[in-house]
Amino acid sequence: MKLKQTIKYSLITFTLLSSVSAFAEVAVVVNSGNSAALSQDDVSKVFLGKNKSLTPVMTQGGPADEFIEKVLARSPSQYKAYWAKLAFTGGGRPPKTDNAASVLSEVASNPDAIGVVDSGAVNGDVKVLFTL
Amino acid sequence: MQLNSFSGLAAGLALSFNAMADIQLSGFGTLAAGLPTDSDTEVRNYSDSEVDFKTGSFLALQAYADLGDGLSATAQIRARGIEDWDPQFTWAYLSYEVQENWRVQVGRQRIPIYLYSDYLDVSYAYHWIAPPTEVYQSFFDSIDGISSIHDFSVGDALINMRVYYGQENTEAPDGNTFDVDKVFSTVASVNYGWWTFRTTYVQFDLSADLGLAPLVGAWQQTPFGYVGSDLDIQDDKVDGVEVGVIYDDQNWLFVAEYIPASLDNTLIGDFEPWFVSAGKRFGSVLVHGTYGRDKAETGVDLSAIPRGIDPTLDQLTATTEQVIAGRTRNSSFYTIGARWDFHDSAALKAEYTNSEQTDGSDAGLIQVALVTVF
Repeated sequence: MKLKQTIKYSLITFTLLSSVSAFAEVAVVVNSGNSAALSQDDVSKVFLGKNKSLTPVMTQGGPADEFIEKVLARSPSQYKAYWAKLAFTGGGRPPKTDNAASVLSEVASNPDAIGVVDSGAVNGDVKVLFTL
Repeated sequence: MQLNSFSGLAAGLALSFNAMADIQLSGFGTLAAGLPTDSDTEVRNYSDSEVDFKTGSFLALQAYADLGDGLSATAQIRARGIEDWDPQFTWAYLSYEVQENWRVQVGRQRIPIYLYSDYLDVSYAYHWIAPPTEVYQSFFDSIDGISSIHDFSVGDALINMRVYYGQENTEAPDGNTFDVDKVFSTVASVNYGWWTFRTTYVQFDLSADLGLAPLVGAWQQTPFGYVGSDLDIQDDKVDGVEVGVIYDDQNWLFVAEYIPASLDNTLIGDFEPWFVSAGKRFGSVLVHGTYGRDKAETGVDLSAIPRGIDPTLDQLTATTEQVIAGRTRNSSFYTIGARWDFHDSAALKAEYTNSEQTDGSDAGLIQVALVTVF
């Protein structure tokens, strides 16, 4: 019984830890032909529509929310309010959202794309700018 | 606009002729309930002594089609409870990107006289249920015309410059009609970090029917015909300026706006409304407070009218003084409220507004709203 409980608790702990680390691993990726050195600030401008030189695309939920909070310095609902404001005034469209595989293939095929994905999904077709 | 043309548009969208067009539908809405705390007052169009679900509620749908090569089409339809949910085209314009960061829009579009004009109806994008109508009292918010919108950056500051030209006709809920012509407006805004600074200049020719034709006619029968022409608003020039600032670091929020406008020697006269607003976020809840003043003076001058000589003239003067009193305000208001982001696409808001009436008494309004974007 005791052993069972220990196993149960360590499993819970493990699950919690791994989910925390899964959340923490976000990768910002660009096309492998893109040699520009982009800071977090530059990336933030792209995802907030202040710099239109790159086409942003991101996944939804978990890792993307982490990116929104850390790099864009907003909560996901504040991010949504920010884009509601721009989109409904003709001032731009929010970054496209898609599943990880589509984000990666978009970045791999479009030299001007920049993507946000779970770093666990990253493959060799794209270049990792930084992870969080 | 009737529902059949609304569904006609929906069908038109579904059967897009341009196979390349990527049509995006989105929308927003506010479902609000309001209750004045005193039964015989009117605050922000709420006057019933029971909970009113209609006055402040509306839904809007926006369709955006990217037609390629820098051309896009945007249409927005809004149905408001106060207009018996009769849908109206609030926007219908074509936008052409002449160069990167420079676009020209032709058609029916919002004219951003105020800080929040651009997204006046998108309550999800700001803290209040709606911007204070004590300050945002323009009788028009859209024009049929053309605009040029330019974005550029200077260092870390983003600058947005716009020029508008067009016209508009509106009818207020009280039946007054406004014919706004030769609208010319320039808007400049600077976004730097968490700061937004904005200024607007607007001018237009105004002809209005305020239901005063008999009074105007009566004055014109007297030697003081100029009072009649002051009361009559025909092709009079209106000039207005707006300055506003928003600071929002996603923790603290601060907004201030001042909008002096004038229509010399007329009943509409001078306006000088302003407000300040501050908010603080606690997790998914934002609490806020706003204080402002609605100041208006008419430009009708009765000082040269002799009193106590002619009874008819005295009566005309008395009636005119009543009309002037109804349009003279120096009233303060305040709002305290909260916004709760309980859902990804919706927020719940509650507010209490206290608005000083023209007679100096106070009137309160409690409002609760569910606001959404989709």
